[in-house]
Amino acid sequence: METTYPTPTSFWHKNKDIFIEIIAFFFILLFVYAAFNKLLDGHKFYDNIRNSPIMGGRTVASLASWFVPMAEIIIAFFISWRRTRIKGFYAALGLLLLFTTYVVGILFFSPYLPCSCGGVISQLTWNQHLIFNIVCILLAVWGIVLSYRPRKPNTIPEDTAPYEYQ
Amino acid sequence: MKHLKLVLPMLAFVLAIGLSFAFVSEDEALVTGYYGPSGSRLPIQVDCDSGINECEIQFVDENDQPIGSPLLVYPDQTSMTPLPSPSEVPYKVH
Repeated sequence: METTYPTPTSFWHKNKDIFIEIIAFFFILLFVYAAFNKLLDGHKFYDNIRNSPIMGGRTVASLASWFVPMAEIIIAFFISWRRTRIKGFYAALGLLLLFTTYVVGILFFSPYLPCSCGGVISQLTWNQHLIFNIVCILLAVWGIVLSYRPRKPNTIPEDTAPYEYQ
Repeated sequence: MKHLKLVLPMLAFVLAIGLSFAFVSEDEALVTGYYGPSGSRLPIQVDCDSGINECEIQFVDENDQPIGSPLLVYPDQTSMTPLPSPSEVPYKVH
């Protein structure tokens, strides 16, 4: 026996493809911009981490100055393709959580506040950065939730969950 | 919509790369200070715009070992008042 499930009809679900595209566009823009900014001005990013009051360390700075921009570009590519988009959103969420942990560390555990150097976003203070990151995290979560795709109603066996990943 | 789904990510990539090139030279968070003996000081970019400490730099080698002693950083060639810094430790320069 097969069960049919009602198709969600809320505003968000009706227009979810549009919202997913907007969220994807935003994250590609954000990550590619941030990555190229770091790569084009690599020594500045390296020096920032090297002089960070809570990280520092030559090895960490060297690794991070390559790993972070590369990860950002790979995540942007993942988000670009529809098949890998949800993985991209999860990876974006992970990277944002890491960065938010760093910002929280700077704000609450650092003996002093260093500059938040780097492109347009350098105009933000650390507090504004934290708020910006929280908004981005919520956006990534929303992207993941919207990317759940209901199966065709008349093909779902009774003991199967109504939704699956895209 | 199908074409848009293909074009939008590409547009985002192009826009982001363009933006990063446009803003890469902006160094507003860092300020130019001067170190060395008065009158023959050399310029350097430092994170010293405000704070209660004196701005200092420490040159370090590849193994992170200090080269010489920390140097005070001044706002111009002749000033005797160092730049203010948020940091208690010297800014490391490679």
